[in-house]
Amino acid sequence: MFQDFNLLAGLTAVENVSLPLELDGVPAKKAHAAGMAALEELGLADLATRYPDELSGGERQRASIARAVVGERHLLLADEPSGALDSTNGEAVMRMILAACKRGVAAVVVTHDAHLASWAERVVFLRDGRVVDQTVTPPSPESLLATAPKP
Amino acid sequence: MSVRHALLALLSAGPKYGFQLRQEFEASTGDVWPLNVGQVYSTLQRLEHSGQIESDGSAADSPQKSFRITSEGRKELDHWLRTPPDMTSPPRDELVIKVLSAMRVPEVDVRDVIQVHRRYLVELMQMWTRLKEDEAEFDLTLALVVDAELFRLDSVIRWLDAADGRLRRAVIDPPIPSTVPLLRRRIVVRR
Repeated sequence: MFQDFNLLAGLTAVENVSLPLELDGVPAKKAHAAGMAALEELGLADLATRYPDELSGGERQRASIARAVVGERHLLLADEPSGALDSTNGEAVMRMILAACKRGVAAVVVTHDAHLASWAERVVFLRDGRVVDQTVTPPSPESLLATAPKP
Repeated sequence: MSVRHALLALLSAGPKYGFQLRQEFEASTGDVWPLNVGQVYSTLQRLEHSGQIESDGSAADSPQKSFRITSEGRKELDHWLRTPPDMTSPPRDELVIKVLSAMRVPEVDVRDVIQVHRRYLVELMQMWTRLKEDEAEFDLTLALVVDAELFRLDSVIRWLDAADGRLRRAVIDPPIPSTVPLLRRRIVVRR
């Protein structure tokens, strides 16, 4: 998952997304279907046949995310994956990464955004390039409601 | 949190019983603000006394007593909805004071103190975010409450990040005395 998207200008959105599958040897038809499914999940199904320069910054970013999560990956690396996105689409991206994790993918997300970080199971803090701290596994949300402030 | 106005808002949709108001109040805040019965009835009494609601006149503590909003109450509700809450005065934020104090304690690394708080706040955000995970069960009211909490916590984390960055760049010296009154004058807020 790239911060500057790295979509290929000569390919449409869906061709970009299905390319890694085709390179893996997946038959074109199957790769195309998987690419469409990933675009659909990020709300880009209608734009599948557009070229990158016909997409907005946020749409390009979502297309590049779809490309990163498509197919059977074991490891997902994401550098500020919601940089150009509004909060709704940023959330859609994190849901997609989370869904990948539930399928058994390990994801490492680098971010300055605490909203994004809070989707992670474990947050590791870097300071001046060094690991200084990490979160402990949080208790369930129910305990949070029990301690909510009284009116 | 104004219970009084929240109750007026609930009554603006039509007459309701006291017990019903309590249930709806809790539901309308995404179930994160529990309210006890006594609080509901004492607030209703005050509203009735000030002419903002009327009751059907049955016994004061009867659960069958029903309430409706008056035109006076509607006016008050509309006024409250459009009046910005007081956010002008710099709050005496405990966290800010802890960080400022840490700068004065020789054996404490203020950036370590910042990190302790940052981690705690991120852990809190993780808990709120977990409520979002199950989108299907996530109703609109709860979503708004959760977002409000997340943005509030996020703003504190951003401040800690900025403070950490400043401290990295700055050598911590005692403040030059003459700048203190100047700063204080600048952040005085008119009431």
